[in-house]
Amino acid sequence: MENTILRAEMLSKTYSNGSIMQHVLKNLNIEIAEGDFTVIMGSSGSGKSTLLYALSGMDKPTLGTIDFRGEEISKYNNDQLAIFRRKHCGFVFQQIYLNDTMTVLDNIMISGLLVSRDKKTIASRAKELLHQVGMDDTCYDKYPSQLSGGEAQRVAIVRALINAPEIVFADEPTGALNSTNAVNVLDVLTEVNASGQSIIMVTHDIKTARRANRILYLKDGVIIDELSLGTYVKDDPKRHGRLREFLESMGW
Amino acid sequence: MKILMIATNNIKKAKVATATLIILIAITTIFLYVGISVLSNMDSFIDKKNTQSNGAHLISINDGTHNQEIRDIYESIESYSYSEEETGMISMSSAFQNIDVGEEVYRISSIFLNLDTPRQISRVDIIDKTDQMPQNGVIVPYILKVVNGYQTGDTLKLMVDDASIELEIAGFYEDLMFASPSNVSMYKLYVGDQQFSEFLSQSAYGSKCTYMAVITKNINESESFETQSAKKIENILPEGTGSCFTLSYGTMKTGVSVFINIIMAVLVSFSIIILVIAAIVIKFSTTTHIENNIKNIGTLEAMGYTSRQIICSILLEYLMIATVAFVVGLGAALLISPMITNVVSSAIGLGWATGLDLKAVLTSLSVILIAVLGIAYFSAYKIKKITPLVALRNGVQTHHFGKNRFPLERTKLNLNTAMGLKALMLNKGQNAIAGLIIMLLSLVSVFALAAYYNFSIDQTAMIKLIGLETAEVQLTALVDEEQIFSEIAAMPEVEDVIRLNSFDGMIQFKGQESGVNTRITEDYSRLKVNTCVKGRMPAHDNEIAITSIVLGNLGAQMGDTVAIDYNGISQEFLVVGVIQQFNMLGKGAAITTAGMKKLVPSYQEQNLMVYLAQGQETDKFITKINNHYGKEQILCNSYFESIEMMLKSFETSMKIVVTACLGMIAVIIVFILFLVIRVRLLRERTRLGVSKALGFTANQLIGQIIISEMPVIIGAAVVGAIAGYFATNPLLALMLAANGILNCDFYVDPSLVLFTAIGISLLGLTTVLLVAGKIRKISPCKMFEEGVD
Repeated sequence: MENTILRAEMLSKTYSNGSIMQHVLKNLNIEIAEGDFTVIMGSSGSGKSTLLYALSGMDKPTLGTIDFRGEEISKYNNDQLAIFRRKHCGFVFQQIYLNDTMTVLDNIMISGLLVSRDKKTIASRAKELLHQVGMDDTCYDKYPSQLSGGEAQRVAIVRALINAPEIVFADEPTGALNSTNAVNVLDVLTEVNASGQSIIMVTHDIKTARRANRILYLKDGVIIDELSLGTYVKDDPKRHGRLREFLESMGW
Repeated sequence: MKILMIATNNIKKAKVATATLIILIAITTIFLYVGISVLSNMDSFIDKKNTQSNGAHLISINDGTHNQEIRDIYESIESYSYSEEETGMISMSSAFQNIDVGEEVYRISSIFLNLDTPRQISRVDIIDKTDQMPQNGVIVPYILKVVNGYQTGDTLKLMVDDASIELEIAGFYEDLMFASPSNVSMYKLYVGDQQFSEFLSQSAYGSKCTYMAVITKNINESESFETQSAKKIENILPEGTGSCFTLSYGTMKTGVSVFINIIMAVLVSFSIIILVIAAIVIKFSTTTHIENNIKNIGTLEAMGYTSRQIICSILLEYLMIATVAFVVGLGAALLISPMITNVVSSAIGLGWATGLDLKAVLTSLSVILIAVLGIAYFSAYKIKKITPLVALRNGVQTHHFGKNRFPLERTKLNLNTAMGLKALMLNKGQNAIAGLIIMLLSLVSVFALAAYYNFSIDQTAMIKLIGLETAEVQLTALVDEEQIFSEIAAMPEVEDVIRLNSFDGMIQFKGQESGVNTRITEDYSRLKVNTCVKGRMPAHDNEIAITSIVLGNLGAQMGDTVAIDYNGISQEFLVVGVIQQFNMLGKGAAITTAGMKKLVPSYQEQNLMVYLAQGQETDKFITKINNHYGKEQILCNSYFESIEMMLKSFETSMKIVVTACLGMIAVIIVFILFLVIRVRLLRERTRLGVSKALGFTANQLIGQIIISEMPVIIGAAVVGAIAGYFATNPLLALMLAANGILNCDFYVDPSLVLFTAIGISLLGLTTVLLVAGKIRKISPCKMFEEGVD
């Protein structure tokens, strides 16, 4: 694959609980190209989130290797992985996970200041991104509990984007939002992807998955098939039909 | 049964908090049980021991010249029952050394009695007796076994001036009278018939005396018997010679138990502090439990459990924990009972043995259960206000709308420092409680270290507290005191001399009467130890200063006029000052020599306190005085050493208590910090997990925790240690208030403050690092999904 940004080979993840071994990921091989919007789908317990965490360096695989731009990150220690994540990755979670005790601006800056000490630049970029996702100046000093779910998730996306990561990892980012907020959030992510940043997203939702140009379907820890959808075009009925057909063939 | 299941499930889920509580409550049990059992049994134990040997209610030692008159006086008192008298040998300047244990020579007055003399009063029941009494065998007080480690068969060297003899320890005896160096610095020793005759035939070892033991009709009135007889004996003895020395059971019983009672009171106070800390832990744990299990609580309520049943399950959980901890603590208390026995025995001079004290068990259990269940109920009460629906929606979230401290856009601090300080401000309630506990413990540490320093390392302040002078030598001139005293004052070894005498008499005020030991000297400003705490010392012949205890007994105060009755003559004195002293049970007074001459016109001061010049040896000086004047002209003893000897008997107890206190303080600090940080990690596990996901390294997060905790720990340790520096003496005075002590002057070395602050801070840092280090091992996704457990 050309312009591969992330490559996993023979990736396995096994959890053990006493004498019981659970093989969650089994010898997976994946390549993610630069600028891809990849969605991982599958039934509950298929290993979607585990794969996302393993690829992002949040969890270590039991076996196999993960390369980021040719550098093997799976051999990194925890501190090296933390530095890798802060420089190259952004994260968006279903539960949003903003720090309740910090203002919107601080929630974003906390991530930005990990990479740069230039507070002015970070603050200014944070404000710019907030405007881009449709948040106005009044939100800077608000606390997360004063925001709606959609607003909070948009702040979380800004936090994920503050260091201009090459890949954004999103775990069910619209799972806790109503349909209007979900569309707004997906629009933001689509714009992010359009600007060249790769996105790897886990979702159960077909409308959300429709935004991706590539669908990976996971079953019992193995990618059983994938679908290429091409660049996202709004309100394309064929795109939705192809995705539905693919998912139905997977037993969705 | 269902409630029991919920309770056991709660315990299983909160293993660390449960373990912490068990340890804290177990420590509380140990201290509380030991304290209560010793305090409540002390009186009856001493009485029982005395009854076993038919111990004397009053002992008098006199020179044998007025035996019949003294006997008649005793018999004339209504409460007299019967008495015995025997010949003894008294040695005021005796010194001892157990050669086998390699101890230093120590000086203490002694009285030798004949073991073979048949006696009904104070029968000698020998402990660790040799098969056969050696010719040079000696039976010594039991306190020498527990404090000094003496064993049967050891060689005890007796030295009196130039004479010395080696005696073999043939056993130990228990008695209240003259069997410990506290209060009365004199040992009673028993030797065989032959050895006793040899002693009497050689004047080198001491003087012949009459030893009288009296039994009264009521042992509880022994002090009153002593007061009544003392007044009559004064009339038959030459003025102020003090050749008849009496000691009552009541006086000695109070005297020997004062110190151990203070130690036990400290233990009980300490147990209450730990119980308060356990209560804080319960409050933390219950609140965290409710926050973490709000959905489970909602589910139970939805299933039909009442909030009362859920609260009962929490109470049952703490009841089980408290019961287990109590059993563990009680078991530990019984296990360490040999150590407690040693501490108590070394203080009172009697072999302490009480077994399991059911009353103390029930009292300790009641106190602990009431405290634990009370705080658990108040902490869990808020469950009543939570409806099932609110609970299922994850409770009422506490939103933060406070001021944004250290905004990252504007602060000049680096990211991790700012984050740490944000957390510090955010957890201020919890930090304030932890800080308060550490501050208190830091204060107690300085207090304990200072007490140990003043008891065991430099005893000057303790001697001042007792109210005695710091003279190395005390002399009593038997003839021509004017010439002898001026000759001694002119000796090159002598730095200063002060004539200081005392007598036991009665003070009266508005129909009230109190026995008192009154000091007499010409000029109180010359004394090295100032015992005046209010007003001033007497300067004129109509003035008197009195201890607060005596003033309290009389109902008098400064400015009142009291009367001293001596030899049938009564004189009035104006109270111009309040003094304090620990000795003579705090019953003291002071008048001038001119004042004494109003009572006894021919009064001559026969006692001289001698302060030796720097570098002079007490032993050599005493030998020189004895050789120069002989025992017919002068009696001489090493004053300071005998007081030090008395204090030494408390050293073992102090060492054990201080070490135990410091050990407990360390354990509590570790547990409190462990709990505070662990609760914080549990509460903030999601935030920490997300922080790791965002790219914070474990070291950065640990650093933030250190920045957020250490200012509190260091601040509390420093403030507590400084408070300890200033509070040690007022606290001590408070503890000794019952003994008439209003003002203490313990030396608190600034290095103790520094040592305590640094020690507690380092302990805190180590604990924080160890507990927070747990962040390192967990991957971020696990941390925010599953928590640190």
